[in-house]
Amino acid sequence: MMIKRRIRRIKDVWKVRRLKSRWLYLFQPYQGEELVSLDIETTSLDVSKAQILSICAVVIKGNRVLSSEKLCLTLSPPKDLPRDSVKVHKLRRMDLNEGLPVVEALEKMLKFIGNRPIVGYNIGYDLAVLDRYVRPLFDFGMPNRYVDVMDLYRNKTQLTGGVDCQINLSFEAIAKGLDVPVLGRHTALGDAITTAIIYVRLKCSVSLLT
Amino acid sequence: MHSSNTFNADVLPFNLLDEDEYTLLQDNLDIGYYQASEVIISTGDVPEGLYIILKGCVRELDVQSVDKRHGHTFVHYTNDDYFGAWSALRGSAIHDFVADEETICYILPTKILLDLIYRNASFGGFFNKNLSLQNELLEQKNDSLNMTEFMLARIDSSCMRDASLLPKGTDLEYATQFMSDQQIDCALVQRGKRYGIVTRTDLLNAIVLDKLPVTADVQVIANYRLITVESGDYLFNALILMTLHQIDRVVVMQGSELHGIIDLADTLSYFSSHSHVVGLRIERATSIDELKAAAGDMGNLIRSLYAQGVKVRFAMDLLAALNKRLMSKLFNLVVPENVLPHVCLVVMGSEGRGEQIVRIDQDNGLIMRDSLDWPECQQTLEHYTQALVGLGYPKCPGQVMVNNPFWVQPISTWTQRMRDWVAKADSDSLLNLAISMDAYPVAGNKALFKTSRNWLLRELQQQQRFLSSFAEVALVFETPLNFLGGIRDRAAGVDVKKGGIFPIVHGVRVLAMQYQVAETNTYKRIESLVKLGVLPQRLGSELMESFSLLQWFRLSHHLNQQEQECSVEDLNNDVDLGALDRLEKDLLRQSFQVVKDFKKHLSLRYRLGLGL
Repeated sequence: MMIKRRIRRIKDVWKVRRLKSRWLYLFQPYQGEELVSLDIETTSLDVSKAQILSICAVVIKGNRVLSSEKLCLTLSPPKDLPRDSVKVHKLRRMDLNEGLPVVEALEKMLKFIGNRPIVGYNIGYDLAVLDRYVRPLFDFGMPNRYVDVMDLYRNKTQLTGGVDCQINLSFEAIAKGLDVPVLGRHTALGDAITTAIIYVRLKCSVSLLT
Repeated sequence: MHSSNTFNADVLPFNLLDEDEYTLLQDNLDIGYYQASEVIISTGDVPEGLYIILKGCVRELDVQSVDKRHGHTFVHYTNDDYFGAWSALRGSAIHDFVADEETICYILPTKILLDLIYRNASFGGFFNKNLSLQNELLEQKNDSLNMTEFMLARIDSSCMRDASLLPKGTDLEYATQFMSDQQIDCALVQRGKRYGIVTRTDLLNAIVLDKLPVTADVQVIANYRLITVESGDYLFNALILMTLHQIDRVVVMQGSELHGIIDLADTLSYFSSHSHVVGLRIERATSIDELKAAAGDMGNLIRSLYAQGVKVRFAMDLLAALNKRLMSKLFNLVVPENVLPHVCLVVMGSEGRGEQIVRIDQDNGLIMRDSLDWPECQQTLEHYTQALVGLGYPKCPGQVMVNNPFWVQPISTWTQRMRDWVAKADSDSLLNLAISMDAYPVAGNKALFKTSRNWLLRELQQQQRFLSSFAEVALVFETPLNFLGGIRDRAAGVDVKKGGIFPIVHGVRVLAMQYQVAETNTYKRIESLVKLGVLPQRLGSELMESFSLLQWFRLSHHLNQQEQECSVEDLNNDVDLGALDRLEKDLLRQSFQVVKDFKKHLSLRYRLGLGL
């Protein structure tokens, strides 16, 4: 799937260049030191069926999580809101009624992230769902480079002698393993911030390297 | 939508914020991540704002100690504690803040913190309280600062009036009309290069007493010997000039240029409850009623000193000086002039040590010359005691007052009685001795007091055995620390007086007596004892620091109680631990620890049973 994404991205770049699209800058290589931690809440774990309910993102810079510089979007409710998913993300239909139309929300998101790399937990899923939304509307997929804290965590623990099958890679387990408090689990903002802290912890901590 | 909020706002002071303010807070928080032993804020830096610990542990360190590696840690902060508020408000950090372990903090930018403090009075009040405490922490480092803060007001347009200059050749009638129209009571005239001042009183005198015609030139009656101050000088200096020359206004000049006039009434209202003005008002008072007005101002003064974060020791000194002046003035008003050289009014107990901030009681006595014939004595002194009560000094529950003949004695009886107390050494005698040892003369013939004090110091020197039983009194109350060094909490609160202030005061008093230190103030006694080599330097400075902090806790508790309309008799010293934040609790605990060390020191010195 990763290779498929790569190939599609190359096609996208080519297309965007040719069309001189206003989104061309999203495909420029990023020079700065910031990243964007991203999380979305959806109605299902099945990429092909999932409907996006909310999108949240916070900026990471050095050892800082700039939670004051954040994006929090609620989308207008999809036609069907499965009972089971409501129990997880706790967004009821009434909570979504003031949500943004999908196009507007996605434009805001693309502008907020810009060409900065994305950080996320199991980010492949989020990107796949977003791709499904973005591609028909903008004619390209999510353009950003990305880092998955799950991979980072796996690499770090393997370096220190853990064996793959023994590592619990659930979100809670990673947070616990790194002694990071979980803030507002299953809210997009809470997860985005927690993920950001996990990233900073993995990147900055001296103690984990030794 | 609260589900997206991640910041825990259930703890003080953030639970004081309303919904909107909370949103403002939430929207502006950043999160920082720090390694173990990473310096988060270093001394002198401009802090980014207020830090709230999400997870981890942070130490507040004295700057000098960083080089020594084993520094004086003021406070440990852990989850949900906040730090750096004072540094943020002040603009630069006073201590180092170092992560003890890996730490994640929220950071609230200073600007937003200020917004919230400005918008929410109770939230702001919380930080204000913290500010006074932090100032207390700054120790004796910059003593001069506080003193000048009061006199910092300078002469500028905010405190002076425009000077109205009368045109040349103005006659008396026009001048009177002019002042009446302008609603001013003085104006300036110019003769050559010199300025003169004409007041309404001058005009009145000229016309009514000197019978000058209303057409006379105003120049004739003007006063050309102007008392002037320079613009930009301290306003306080203008006040001194007015007091010195017994005048009501001074002219402000800049070089040879006329700038304005400062009026006494304006100056007084400008300073309103400032200490110096209270002092001046006491000095100028000619009746008990006038004294009462001045005494009333002192209540506000205490509050404003506390709110401005003035250090306890300074506030004590200031109020003690004012109290003594007030009592002395009252004494001079009440007692006939021919009696004054033969008696000496002394204040005793906390007032004698100059350590009373909130007036709790009056402890005073009178030493008389032997064989003084003063039949109205009892009646006059009763009047004095009542007048003091009228000025807001509550009666002493132990009847240590001049209206009690027990505390009004000729010098020979006064000294003989102290000798009896030393010999007897039962609890009443020890209490009376403790009270008398802190005596300080405020009015009358101070030589009488000095005679008795010198006698006492000499006498006690030869009474080693007595001193050791006297010292034991300092150990009577247990230090409220538990086995593990934490504060032992009672339901009623922690008594800071019995648990901390009393042992320090009494222990230091005994040492001072033994080594013939004539000072009565606890700080000064400690300083003298350190200088004499009686107390180790380190213990001495720790004692002073702890004493200040304990007094601070007591003062803030008393002011709180007063705010809740608590009468003076009902004021207690039981500080509620639940109302303290982490910083305060930690400091209180450390102070008690010092008290415990001091008790140990006393036990070893006087070979007392280690009844800690």
